[in-house]
This record gives sequence, structure tokens and C-alpha cells, in this order.
Amino acid sequence: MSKLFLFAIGGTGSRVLRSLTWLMASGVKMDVDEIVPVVIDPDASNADLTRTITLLQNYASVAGTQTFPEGNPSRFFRTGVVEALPSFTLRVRDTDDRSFGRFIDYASMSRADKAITRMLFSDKNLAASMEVGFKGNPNIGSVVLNQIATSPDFATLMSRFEAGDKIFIISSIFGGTGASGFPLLLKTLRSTTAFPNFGIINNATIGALTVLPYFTVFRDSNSEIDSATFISKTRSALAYYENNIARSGSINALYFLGDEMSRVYDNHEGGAAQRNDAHLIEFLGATAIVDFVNTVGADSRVSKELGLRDLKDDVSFDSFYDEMRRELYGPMVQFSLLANALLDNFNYFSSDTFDANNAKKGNFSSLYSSRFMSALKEIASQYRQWILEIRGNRRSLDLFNPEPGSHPFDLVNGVAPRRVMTLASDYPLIASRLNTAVGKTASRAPEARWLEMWWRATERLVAEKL
Amino acid sequence: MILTGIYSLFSGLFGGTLDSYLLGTASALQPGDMTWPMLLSVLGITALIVVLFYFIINYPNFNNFGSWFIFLAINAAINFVVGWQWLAGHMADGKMVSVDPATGLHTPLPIYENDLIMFGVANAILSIVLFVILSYCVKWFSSNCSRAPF
Repeated sequence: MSKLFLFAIGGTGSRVLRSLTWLMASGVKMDVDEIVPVVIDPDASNADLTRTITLLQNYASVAGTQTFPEGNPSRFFRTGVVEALPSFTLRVRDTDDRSFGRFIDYASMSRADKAITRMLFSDKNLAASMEVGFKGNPNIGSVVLNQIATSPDFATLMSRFEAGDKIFIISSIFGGTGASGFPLLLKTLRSTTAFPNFGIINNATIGALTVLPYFTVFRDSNSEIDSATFISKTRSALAYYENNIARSGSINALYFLGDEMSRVYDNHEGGAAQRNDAHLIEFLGATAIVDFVNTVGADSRVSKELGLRDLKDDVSFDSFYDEMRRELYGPMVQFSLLANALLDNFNYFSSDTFDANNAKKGNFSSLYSSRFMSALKEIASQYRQWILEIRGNRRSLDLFNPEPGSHPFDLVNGVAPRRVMTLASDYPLIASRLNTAVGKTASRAPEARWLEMWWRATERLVAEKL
Repeated sequence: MILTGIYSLFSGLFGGTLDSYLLGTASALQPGDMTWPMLLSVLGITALIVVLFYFIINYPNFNNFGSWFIFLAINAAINFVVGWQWLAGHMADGKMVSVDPATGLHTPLPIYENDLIMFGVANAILSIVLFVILSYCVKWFSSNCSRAPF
């Protein structure tokens, strides 16, 4: 079983991971059996982080019920998710209750050490609380995150690494945690000898996504986050990456993404208030991960940027080049049909009137009050929320009509549904296709059979109508 | 013989004279046994409605007792009208008479409009029974309505 160890550093890492979860749920083809998500963020109460973790746990509980015997073409939730660490989190210790100065034990340093320290860190840095992260100070992060290399969590995690597994690191270049964490983590992975399997780890295929600035925040004199510094930080970090990462050949694939900083978020240093709406860049970052697992091998040394067919304020499926469109369109439309059915027509699909529930067919009646179904409905609800956020953001990813109501095929932006010569239309047509599909399922467990039925039916419906 | 006797079971509704007329023993102008073509028409219409419901319309939202019952009622209504009007046509054509073999005089048989209507009712009842039987025979093969009526 091939695995992808996916390190999501900081808030951007969590948000890209959230987008990737939708691609996996949809069944976008990924040449890996399981992903092992690992979030690195000292700000444990960060709302972006907590909702990503909840989403991953729901995903894992659904994916854990799925089996894929010969003859089951379903790709919904096909990629497994492994919770190698509790809440997928690699803990960053000793940041909750102390300032950075206390963390490095500044008070007990010698005079000479203090002098050097003051050259590298301002008084503000030394006094900075780390409870909600490094607040855009990668110089702090690069010291604090050194603990990762020797942490028990990291040892537990990397003991699972096997030959053939890959590693991917997501970070932003303009923040605090990501900008410091990425080079540190990469260096650790390439040079560590602390683990029995260090040889495999050192020579692993490693990719990374570094996200350039794509939003700004409102100016707030009470906040240490100042988006006026994003570009200067980016320039400095890029120079370091060029010399120490790209040229050294320590990475197999480096992906860059960024955009005009047209969206302005509220200025929150971290914590539960830092909950940014989903953004196109995060979604495109997720597609970079898909590209990495599908195309990058041990001999690769590439840097990549993404091209779109056209660049407008709203990005739709037509904005993607053919290969990318082909990769994303079918699975995402199919998943959207499923999610909307769960949200808008659950009463019908859970009723006895829906023939596939029949004991002689799918025998699904008891499934609708199960933990599997409540996790799936929660996922559908979060998916719709994500669609709404990313659609309303700037630049917008406007793929779907978020609430098609009783017209499920009025779904894809810019695609008018084709007519099908049947008496049934809208949800009755979906039901009819499901009733036909249930008889062809290869899976045995009801949860797996249910999703396989939906995959088969929606695949046919997308070919017929959309 | 058993099948031709089916309508006789309902003779209490539409009268013994009409029953004899159907069997071809009441009027020289209607000497044949009408029960066979009647039964075939009920069977044919009912089978058509059943196939329509379960395989041609086969509408997912009809997979319940209520929708099935509507089709049952429509089938019964059609068969009521067919049975009633079939015999009304005979009455209008003057066939419901007894013929005096000696004089050739035509005397109307004691069959009234109400009897024809009650025959329609009997036809409807028969169609309901057939609809239920046929439904239980074929519903298992329907992709969308296998739970109608239960």
C-alpha cells in the first residue's frame, strides 16, 4: 500500500488540506492508496485547523467503511486517510504558556549570547506570545520548530514510512509557521539519521507547495500581522529557497502558487477567529498534490507553476486546460450530485419509496440512521459551505450552483443539462438510475454498496446530462 | 367452464336474466357465450395498465401504495365503462329481446339500465382482483416500483 505523508504547515496548510479532502472524496484519481496527513501548527485553536481536522476525521470514518473488490469502479472516498497522530497533529510543545524569550531561556543566557540573540530578534519578538503561532515571524518559527526533529510524535510518524512512500509539504511563504517550517522539515527529512528507516526517508520522493501571497488583511495596530510585509518576506524566502532548496536538488518537485492580493480578510493573529473563507489558490494547491503523486518520481527535479486557459475574476471548469478539466470534472460533478441529494432530498432517498432501499435490492433502510450516514451528511454540509465560500471569494472558483434545490442538474456553471428521453427528470431520474445501478454493485457491505451505487448512477448521469 | 362461470358469481348484482343473456341462452339474437371476450378484454386492459405502471411509466415516486391504488382505480374505471357500454350497445341495437319462435315477436327481456351499470361494477371488481394478482406476479421485476403496493 503506497502512502503519501502530507505535512500541512500553518493556516495555509490546513486550508489546502481541506480542499484536497474534497478532491479525495470526489474520487479524483490519485496514484496512492493512502494519505497520512500531518498538521503542524502551534495554534491548536485555529479555526481553519480545527475544521480541517473535523473534516478529515469524518472522511476517515466514511472511507474506513469502503471496500473495493474486483468489479467496483467507485472512486468516492477511495483514497484512505491514516490518522497516524492524534487529531492528525504533530504537537509543537511549550508555546502555550510562555513568550519566545522564555522559550529560549533568554534570561539565563550569558552576556555574549544575549548580544547575539538581540541581533537576531527584536524586543517585540522576545516578548511575543506564541499561543496563536508565530504571527508572521518566521525567525521565531525557525527556532521553535527545531523541536520537530527530535519529537516523539515525529518518531512515531516516520516509523510508518516505507519504501515507495512519498512526502509532500504544504506551506505559505509569507506567514510565520509555514515559511519557517518548510525548510526545516525538508532539511530534517533529507539528513536525519535518528530513525531505523532513515535511509528510505533520506532518499524519499519529496514535493512541496509554497504559496505566495494571495490575500491581505486589514491594518490593525493591535495586531502583529501586517500584510504590507508579505511581499518583502516572500522575496527573502524565495532567495533562500533558490539557493538552499532548488539548487541543492533536495526536493523532487517544487510547486509555486500565488495570485493578486485582491481579497482582504479581517486581521486575526490566530485562534478561533482565524477562519478564512476557502480560496481558489488553496484548491489549486490541492491539485498540485494530485499532480505530484501522479507524475513525479524519484528522478524528477522540477519546479512548477500552473497555467489557466484564461484569467478572469471567476474561474470555472472552462478555465482549465483539457487534461486538468478531464481530471476534475467528472468526479467533482458526481460528488456534487451526491452531496446535493443528501442535503436537499434526504427524506426521499431514506424512505421506502426509494426502491433501492428494498430488502431484496440494496437493503439500505437501516443505513440512514447510522454513524456512516451522519458522517456523510456532515461532509455534504461542509462541502456546500466550502462551495459557497470559494465562490464568494476573490478570485472566485465558480464551478457549481451551490443550491440547485429541486433541479439537481442545474448544477455546473456554464453547462446546460442535456435532455434525456425518459419520463423521469430531476430527482426521479436520479432515483431511476440508482435503482438500476444497485443491481450491478459488486460490494457486499451496505456502506460500500451504497456509495458504489451512487458512483455508478452519477457516472451515467454525468455522461447523459452534463 | 370455471372461467365462464366467473360472471355468474356476480349475477346477484346484475340479475339472472343478464347472466343468461351473457351465456347466450336468453336471446336468439345473441346466441354466443359473451363471457370469453369479456374476460379477455378485462385481462387485456388490466395487463396493459399493470405493464404501464411497472415497466413503461415505472416512475420512482410511484413506488408506494397510494400511486398503485390510483392505477388500480383507473383500471377499474376503464373496465367499468367497457363492460357497461359494451352491453349498452347491445341494448341500443335491440338485441336484448326474446323472440317468439312461433310469431317472431320481439319482447324486451327484463334487463334494465341499472343492470348494465351493475354489470360494469362487476367488471370493475373483476379487474381489481386481476390487477392485484398481476401486480404481485410482475412487481419484482420492476426497477423502480417493486415495493408497490407493498
